[in-house]
Amino acid sequence: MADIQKQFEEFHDEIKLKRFKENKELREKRDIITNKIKKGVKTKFEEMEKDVPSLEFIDQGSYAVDLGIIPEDKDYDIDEGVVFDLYKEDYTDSLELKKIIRDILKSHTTTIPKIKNPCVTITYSLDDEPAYHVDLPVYVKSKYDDHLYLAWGKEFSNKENKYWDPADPEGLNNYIKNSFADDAKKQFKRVVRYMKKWKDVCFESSGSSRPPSVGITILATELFSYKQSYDSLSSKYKDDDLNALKDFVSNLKRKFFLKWDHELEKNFYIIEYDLPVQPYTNVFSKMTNTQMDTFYQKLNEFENALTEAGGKSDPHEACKVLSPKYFGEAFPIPESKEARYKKVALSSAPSSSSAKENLL
Amino acid sequence: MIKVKYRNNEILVEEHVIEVIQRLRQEDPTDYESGGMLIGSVLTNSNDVVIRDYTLPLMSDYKSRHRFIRKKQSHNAILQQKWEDSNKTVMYLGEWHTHPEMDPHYSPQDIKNWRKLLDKSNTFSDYLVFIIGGIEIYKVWIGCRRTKDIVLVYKGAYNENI
Repeated sequence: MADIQKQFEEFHDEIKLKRFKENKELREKRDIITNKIKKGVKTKFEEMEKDVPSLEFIDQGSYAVDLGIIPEDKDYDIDEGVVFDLYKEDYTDSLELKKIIRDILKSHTTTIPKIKNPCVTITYSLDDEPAYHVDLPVYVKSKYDDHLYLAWGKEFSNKENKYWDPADPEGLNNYIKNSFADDAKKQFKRVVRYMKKWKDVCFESSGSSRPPSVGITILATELFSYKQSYDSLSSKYKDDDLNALKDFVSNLKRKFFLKWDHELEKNFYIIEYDLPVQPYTNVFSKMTNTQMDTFYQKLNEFENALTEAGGKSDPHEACKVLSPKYFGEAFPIPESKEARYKKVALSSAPSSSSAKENLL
Repeated sequence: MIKVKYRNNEILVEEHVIEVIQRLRQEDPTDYESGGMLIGSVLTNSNDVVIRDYTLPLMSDYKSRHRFIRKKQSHNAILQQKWEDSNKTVMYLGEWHTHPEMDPHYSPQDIKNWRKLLDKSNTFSDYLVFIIGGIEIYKVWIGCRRTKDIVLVYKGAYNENI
């Protein structure tokens, strides 16, 4: 079996997105926006002659849990929760605060901020290309419990599509952060990033045809297990990312079940998995049966490729199975063993006769 | 991996080659001599040589406590197969055999045999590698095919972790 751990780790270094801590530029962008919101909210509420609510911000998404990868399209995304110290009972229209955020940031970028269902999105452009965007989910509290409530709805949604729904962004961060420790945690992060890169390479980028990253991440907290292999040269155990990834993909496949679709008169592989925190909803609910079935078929193909790579004895051959088809160009292919050697003509030798003198 | 400098080149012997000789060494008073070809390649960018394969004693070979005769045809057939499987990159690069002594020395017969191999073998390399595996120690000699000089280049103890 070929040892391609080195190639996996090089690949990981290539695709890994640095955290806020290490990424000054994005951290500054975040701080500019949060400061602007703080000031803007103050001005807005003073204009309305209301008490100015205090604000809290929560880092969310892959940055917060250190699972980000460099995006294919270079459109970096930052998720930053805005928590108003206000009660949902006083703000029956869930859009009111989202509109305030949108209006505050209107003059901040050339692209006008957009109110989406779960957040307000600000898009920064660089030479007319989106350079990154900031998603701002808006939360309030309740007079009757300790939950946070997320503002759902677009500006012109029907009344029934505008509502407050319980959410627990910090609980989700902690759930993911605390699922593994030490070397197992490091490998867990690498495997989640490999899955995200595979998703970027193998799925169309539009709409909900891609399985959501949060779904893959929380499934990994349950299905991932730390894998090492024995290295006879150094007599030590070392991390085996290929095996860990393959094991996770196999376990993930087993989470699917067959469901008959009456309309299309066909069986589909379906997956359902609930958030481990409020509101405990199915993370794959936005995907259609056809999209989930495609997800399953792609996992199946990926599993076969990982098995095939594991069976090759030459690292060159093993990496060629995975790169660029499943991981893109970032996955390195080492030089072939045979290419290191000169081609020679067929050789031969006469018989050989050795003898140790009989000392007796 | 063993590395030896010989003239302007480096000669490398991969660890698994030594491990095989270690496994076949004549520890027990009833163990017979073993031997076979050393097979390897020339690196593209340096002309250095790597011993990375071998043949093992075959049914047709003659084995006793103090003698080993490796036959020509069966070993050359295996060499040809390995050459084809390696995309034509391996070749004959010498001989190995075992001796029932702690620290091995070549016998007059061994030297005579090595000179014959330097003379009569048909291979791309200018020199051949000869290894004798004793019970505690193994030694590596290199012979030049043009001058027929044979020099001791390495003496080592086996890796006892195996």
